[in-house]
Amino acid sequence: MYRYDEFDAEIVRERIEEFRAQVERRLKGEITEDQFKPLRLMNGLYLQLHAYMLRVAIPYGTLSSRQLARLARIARDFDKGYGHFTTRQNIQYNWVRLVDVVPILEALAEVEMHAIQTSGNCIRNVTADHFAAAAADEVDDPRVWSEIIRQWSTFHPEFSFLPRKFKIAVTAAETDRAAVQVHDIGLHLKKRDGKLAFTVYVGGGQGRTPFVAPAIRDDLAPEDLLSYLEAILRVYNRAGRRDNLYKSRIKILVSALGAEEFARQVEEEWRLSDRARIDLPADEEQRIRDYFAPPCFRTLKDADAGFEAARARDAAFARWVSTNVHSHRTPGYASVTISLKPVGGIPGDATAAQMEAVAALGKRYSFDEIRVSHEQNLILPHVEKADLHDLWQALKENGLATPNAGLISDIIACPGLDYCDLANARSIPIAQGISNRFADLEQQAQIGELKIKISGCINACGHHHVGHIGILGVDKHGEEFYQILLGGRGDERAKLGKITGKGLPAEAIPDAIARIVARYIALRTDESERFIDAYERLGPKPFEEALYAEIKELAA
Amino acid sequence: MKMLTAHDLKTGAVVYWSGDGRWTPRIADAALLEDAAAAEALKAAEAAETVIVHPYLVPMDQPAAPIARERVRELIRARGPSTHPEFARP
Ligand code: HEM
Ligand code: SF4
Repeated sequence: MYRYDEFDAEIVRERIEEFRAQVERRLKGEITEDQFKPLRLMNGLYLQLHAYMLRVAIPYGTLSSRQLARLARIARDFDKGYGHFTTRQNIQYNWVRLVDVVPILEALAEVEMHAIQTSGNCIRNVTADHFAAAAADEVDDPRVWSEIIRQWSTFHPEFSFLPRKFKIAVTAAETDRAAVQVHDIGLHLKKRDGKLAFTVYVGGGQGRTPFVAPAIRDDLAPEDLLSYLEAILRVYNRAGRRDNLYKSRIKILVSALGAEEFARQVEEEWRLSDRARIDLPADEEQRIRDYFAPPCFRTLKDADAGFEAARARDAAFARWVSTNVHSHRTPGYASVTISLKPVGGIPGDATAAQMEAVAALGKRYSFDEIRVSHEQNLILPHVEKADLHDLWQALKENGLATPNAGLISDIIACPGLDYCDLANARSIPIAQGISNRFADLEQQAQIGELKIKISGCINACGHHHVGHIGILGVDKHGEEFYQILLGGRGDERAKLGKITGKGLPAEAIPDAIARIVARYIALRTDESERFIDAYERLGPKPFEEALYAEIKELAA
Repeated sequence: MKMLTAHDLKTGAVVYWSGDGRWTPRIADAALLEDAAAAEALKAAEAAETVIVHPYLVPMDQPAAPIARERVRELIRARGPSTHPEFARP
C-alpha cells in the first residue's frame, strides 16, 4: 500500500509548522480573516453553518487499520464523536475548533495523512474504483495511476493556481464505479489489442452546468499519461476563463471549443512538449507499483463449504451476502460493502466506535485494508469467504450490517442545509425520509438496484445529476423545495438525469418516490430489468406521470 | 429589523450580538436592531477580528424569528443540525 515517502513527510511537516504560525498570527490579529481564509482553505479548513469543518484526504479511498483508527480517535477527541465520509472519498469533521486544527493535523501526519489538496483551485484528491485490486473485471490497479498522478500534481508549481478546482478519477475495470465521465478528467484504463491503453475523458462535471465528458483519446499508452495530462492542463490553464467563476471549469472550455478542437489543441501541445522530462521512467512506475503489491492471498478453492452452509442456514446472512458481498478475482475471497446507510440513518456518517470496529475487522479479515467508496460506504476489499459469517456477525453488533448496497436506501446525500453554508435546502432528512419509507428490506430487495442521489444545492456534491433518481434542493422564498430528476447514471454509460416538472415540498418526497417505484414495478419486464433499464426502454413519460399523478388529482 | 450574527473565532461556534457589548450563543438573546444601529454594530464587529469571524446581518421581524430566504438556514444555525437533535441548543 502507498506510504508517503520522505519527500511527502517533510512537506507535510513543513506545512503544519507554517499553518501553526498562521493560526497564531490570526488569533493575535496580526493577519485578517481575508488574509487567513485562503491559507486555512489550503489546509482543508472551511467555515460552515455551525463551526469549522476539516476535510481530510483519503487518497483513492484506501486506508490502513491504523489510519482508520486514527480517524476515529480524532472524531472522539476533537469532534462530537463522528465523521462524514463523502462522495470524493474524503472524510469531513463538522465540529472542529480552530485551536485544535494543528493538533489534528499532527495526529494525521503520524499516520501519513493530511488535508492538503482538499480545497482550492488545484488538482484535488484523485479518486478511484473502490474495488481496486480486488475486482474480477479489472485490467490493472487504478491506484498505481492515481498515485502517479498524485505525486506529479501535488504542489506542481504550474498547476497550483488553476482557473478552478480540478478533479481527476481513474478506473481500470469494465464497470465504472468511480464515475469517471463526470470529472474534469476521467481515465478509463482498458485492454486494447492486448495492450493497456487509457480512454481519456475531458470536461465532465456536475454543478450548475453538468456535462458528461467526451472522450478525446481512446488509445493513450500508459507511459505517456503524465505528459498528456500536462498538455490538457496547459491548454486549460491558458484558455480557461478566470474572469467568471461559473465559466472557469474545463467543461465550459471543452464545450465552447468542441471536443474535436480541444483534442486537436491538446495533441499539438503534447507533440511540442518535452515528454521525456515529464513522463515517468519505467523504474519509477515500478517503485510506485510496489507500494500496491497485492497481499499474500492463500491458495483456496473458490467455493467454501462453511460459507455455503451458513448461507443456506441463515436467511438474514444470505440476504446480506446477496447485496453486500461482491466477487473477487482471487478464488476463495470476496469484497464486502459495509453499509453506512442504516434504515433512517445519515448517509456516510460513522461514529468513532464504528470506525474503530471497522479498523479492527479490516486488520483481522482484510489484510489491514479498508476502502472508502464514492457512494459513502466502507469496503473491506479482500475477505476470505470462510470468514464472511463471522465478519457479518461482528458488523451486526456495530450496526454496520444493513443489507442494502446498491438498493433504494443506499442513498448518496450531501450535507445540505444541516451543515453547509452554500445550501438551499436540507438533503439528509430527505434521504432519511425515503429510507424510512422503504424500511422493509425484503421490499427493497424486490425493487432491486436503484440509485438515489441528493444535493442541497446546484453545486451537486450529492451527484443528483447522475442518480437513477436525482433530488435537488431549491429555495423558494425561504421554503425548501425539491426538484426530481430521472434517468441519470454515473457508470460507464454515464448520462445526466432529466429534470421533471415543478418542485415538491419535503414531506411529499417519500410518496413521490414510492409512486415512481410502483410504476416501475408494474412496467418492468421481470425482476432482471433494473429501474434504469426500464427507464431507458420506456422513456420518462410513464414515470413523470406517476410522479405527478397524485398532485394532479389534488389540483383537480 | 435585523440581528447580527457571527462565529466565535477560536471555536467556530455560532454567536449573536446581544446589544450590550456581549456575544451570546442563544438566538433568543440576540438584539433586534434598527437598520442604522445594525449597520453600526456590523462595522464594529468587522473590526473585532480577534474575537469573531464572518459577521453578517439577518433580517427579522421579531426576536428569534429570521425571515425571508434566511429563515430555514438561520433556524438550523441557531439550533444545530436538524438531523442531530441530541446536539440541539436551547
Ligand atoms: C460542506 C461543505 C462543502 C462545500 C462548501 C462544498 C462546495 C462545493 C462547490 C462550491 C462545488 C461546485 C464547484 C464548481 O462547480 O466549480 C462543489 C462541487 C462538488 N462537491 Fe462539494 N462542497 C461541500 C461538501 C461536499 C461533500 C460533503 C461532498 C461529498 C459528499 C462534496 C462533493 C462534491 C463533488 C463531487 C463536487 C463536484 C461537482 C462537479 O463536478 O462540479 N462536497 N462543492
Ligand atoms: S451540493 Fe450544495 S448543499 Fe450540498 S454540500 Fe455541496 S455546496 Fe453544500
